[in-house]
Amino acid sequence: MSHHDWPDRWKDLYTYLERPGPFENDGFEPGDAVKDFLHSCKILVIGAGGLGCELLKDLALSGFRDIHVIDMDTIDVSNLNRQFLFRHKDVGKPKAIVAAEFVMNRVPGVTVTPYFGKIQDKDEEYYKQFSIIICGLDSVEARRWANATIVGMFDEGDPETLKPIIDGGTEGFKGQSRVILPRISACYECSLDMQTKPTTFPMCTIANTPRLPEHCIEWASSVAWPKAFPDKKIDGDDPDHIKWLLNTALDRGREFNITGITYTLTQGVVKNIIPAIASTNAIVAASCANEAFKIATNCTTYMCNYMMYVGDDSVYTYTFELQRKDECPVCGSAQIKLRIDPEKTLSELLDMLLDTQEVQLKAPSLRTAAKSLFMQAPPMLLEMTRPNLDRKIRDLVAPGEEITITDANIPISLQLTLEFI
Amino acid sequence: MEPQPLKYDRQLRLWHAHGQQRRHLARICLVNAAAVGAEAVKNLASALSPSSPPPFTVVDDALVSGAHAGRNFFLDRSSIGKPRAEALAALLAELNDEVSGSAVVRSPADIIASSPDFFRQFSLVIATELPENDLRALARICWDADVALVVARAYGFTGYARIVRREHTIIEAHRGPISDFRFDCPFPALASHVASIDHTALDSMASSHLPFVVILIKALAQWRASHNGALPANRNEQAEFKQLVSSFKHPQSVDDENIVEAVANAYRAYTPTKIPADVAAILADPAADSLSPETPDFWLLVAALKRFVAHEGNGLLPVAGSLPDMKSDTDSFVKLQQIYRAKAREDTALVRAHLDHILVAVGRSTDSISDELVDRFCKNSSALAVIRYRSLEDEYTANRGAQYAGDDHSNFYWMLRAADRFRTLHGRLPGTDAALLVEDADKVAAVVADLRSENGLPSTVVPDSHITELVRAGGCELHNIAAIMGGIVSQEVIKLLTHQYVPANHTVVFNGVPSSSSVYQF
Repeated sequence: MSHHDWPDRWKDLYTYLERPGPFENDGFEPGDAVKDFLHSCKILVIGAGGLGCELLKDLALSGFRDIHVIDMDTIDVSNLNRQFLFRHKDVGKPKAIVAAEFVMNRVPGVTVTPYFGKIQDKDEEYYKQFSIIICGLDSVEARRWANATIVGMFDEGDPETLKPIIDGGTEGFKGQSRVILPRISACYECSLDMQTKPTTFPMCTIANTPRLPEHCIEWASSVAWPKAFPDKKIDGDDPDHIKWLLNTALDRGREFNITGITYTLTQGVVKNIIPAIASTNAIVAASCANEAFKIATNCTTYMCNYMMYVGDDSVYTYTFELQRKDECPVCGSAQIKLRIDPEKTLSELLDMLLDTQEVQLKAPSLRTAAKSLFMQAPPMLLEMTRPNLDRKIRDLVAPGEEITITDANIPISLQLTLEFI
Repeated sequence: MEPQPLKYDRQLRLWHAHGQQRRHLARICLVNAAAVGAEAVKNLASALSPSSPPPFTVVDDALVSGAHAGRNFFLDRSSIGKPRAEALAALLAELNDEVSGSAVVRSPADIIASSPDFFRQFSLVIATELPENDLRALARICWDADVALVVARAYGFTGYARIVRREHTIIEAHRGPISDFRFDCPFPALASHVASIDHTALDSMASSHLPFVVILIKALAQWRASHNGALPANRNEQAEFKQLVSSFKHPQSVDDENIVEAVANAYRAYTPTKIPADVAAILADPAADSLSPETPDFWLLVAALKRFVAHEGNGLLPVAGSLPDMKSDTDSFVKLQQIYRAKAREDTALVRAHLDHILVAVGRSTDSISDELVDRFCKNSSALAVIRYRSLEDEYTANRGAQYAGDDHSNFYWMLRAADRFRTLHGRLPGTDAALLVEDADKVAAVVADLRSENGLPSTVVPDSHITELVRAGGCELHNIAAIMGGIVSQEVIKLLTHQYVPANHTVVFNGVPSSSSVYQF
């Protein structure tokens, strides 16, 4: 018993850890060893927002004592309705630091080590120290980066390098949580095609035939703003920016007889705001922490391996096993095949790749073993390879020749082979 | 056009200002400060508003134990030995600078037995850790006083939530966009607008921007003219109709997005417009017939709606007045939108007039129901919902569990019922003494058999593994399961308070081993 403990502090957890049970996982040994392992297990929480606040609380009360948290954000007023470790006085301070202090004050004997910065600042050496990593993120990009990095660290000869990833996400009354065992179960990249694409409006609608208030707001932000302020980016948190966009959108609405343009809608469209409430974050985060507790102790079997939660119409969960993808660029063979007319240009091939839902590239670079076809960086290589964009595929690669695709935003590389039609 | 309060921005996008307003008026009572209840109130408190009396009250006479402080984030080491109600209310109130809670340090069993009126002051009661008999008594009090009750529980890896409310009415179910086009029965303004468009005279550019709504109304009118007024009835006719729709494509047009949309929506054109069965049942409900000054607004609105349907509506609901985005030039779309909106306004005004008559007849002032509410009601009239929950007493005396024979999660419901009964019989929960695990398992099996036979259900369906797991849990409350159930409970409470979205009917069982849940009507 640590000097921070008091009688019966862990009574509920220990009841489970001292008794065998019908649903225990293989390898579960009731007794003190499993308690010690739980208390010393090093766990990382990525994100100290809506899910992160809940996760830190849940893990601290689940017996984890060595918790680390990364977040690059500072606290905003709109976080206060659900990120319950923050108060008005904390607005503007780093989330990771405020959250860590709060939890350490409330739960004695727990060390929460914050890092105020980007996940990309840290390397394998850093991520290697953790037994379990939980992602409570709101961005697909950050999740892909974390997933690829942690799955990529796994070396089959060294079981220590297998880091279970637990991932949670919410939107309004809906959410999901999942367990990823690198190269054993589906990883985040395997299921990219399940992501719903964000709503986008065709440019011709925005420019010529607006019909909805959203079309007017899009026009204000993507056409009128760059014209009026060529050197200034829109800051969705700056009320002056939003007011300018609102007024511009209102003018356009008047011109086209379109009503329903409001401040709230303008901010929602510009910032792509996803509604978020405390209760859904609580459910999803606790389900992630529940899996972490089970993984750290083996006291029962784990979720296998994806839970969808839908709370807007009754309460509905669907828990199922997501399958790994053989061709996954992160945990699989990373081989994709495309059929293409060799008369098409490299630029058209790039468009095809950008449209492929399974890989979702942002800024792909392409090279063969012999030469660079198109490189986004450094600038010199970009200049050198740009003319290739207009050349025909036939003139650049042979059928079946391997092309390596990399993307500056995501630490993946995949092999593409083209079949000519 | 002011920004909405930033603090609540992310939730106002879900239930809007009028939903938040209803929450602000709510008063919640937490009976027993178990972690599951604390978590539920925590999720609600961080978004409550200042009000007097305070928005939440904790009733509990227990003193904080070491185990309580170990599993509940809103109790800490310094609260050990102090009244749990006070310690919890103090730490929960810290969540929101503007909100305070109150504590009543008194035994819930005592209040239930001797001051049942105490619970009338609340809009909703969340009950945790109550023994079977006290829970049943509390449920009867709430039922009689028409106070919503949510029973919450976290037990080992199992969670349970039960909603009890006589009647819950929903205007905004938010089940997705409402589409109300009236293809088969265009109202006069719509019909004449569509008739005024000569699509054969349009150039290819204008033709490719003709809204699919116009195309379908025209195509259906053409079809009916050549089919004695009948709609496309069978597969062949429907396929033929789609071909007719496709023929609206201009020969020189390269852009056929509007035609694609028209074909995709063709089924809506040959599905007759009618009142959905659920709403027809609400219109036929006796609650809309016997009106008095006490009749809830919802049923007065239904009564007005019913008169509209019988008279001006010709058997149909008011036009919803909203159009989804579609391929179109701005003018055609806006014109169409204005026509639908104008009709929706007309219909709403007629419902309003019926409502005013009704209000006067029952002796209420006509401004006691706002135009804004009537608007929302009419707009959502095709998605109205009413849930009448089963009373806990009915569940406990005439259980409908037979329909769930063989269902795995429902076994955990019986486990939790058995744990309660076990406590009544033996003065402790099963598995609390590590030396008696085998004996307790046998006793639990006997209790399950009793409980089921009391309700006329076959006895031996619960597998031994579930009984062993219940005994293993030893009555413990794991924080994570408490947090999951607290989250589910607060989500359901939000739905109950805002009358938006659809709450579960009536029991949610969560199993934290596979991490899945089911909803039952025992």
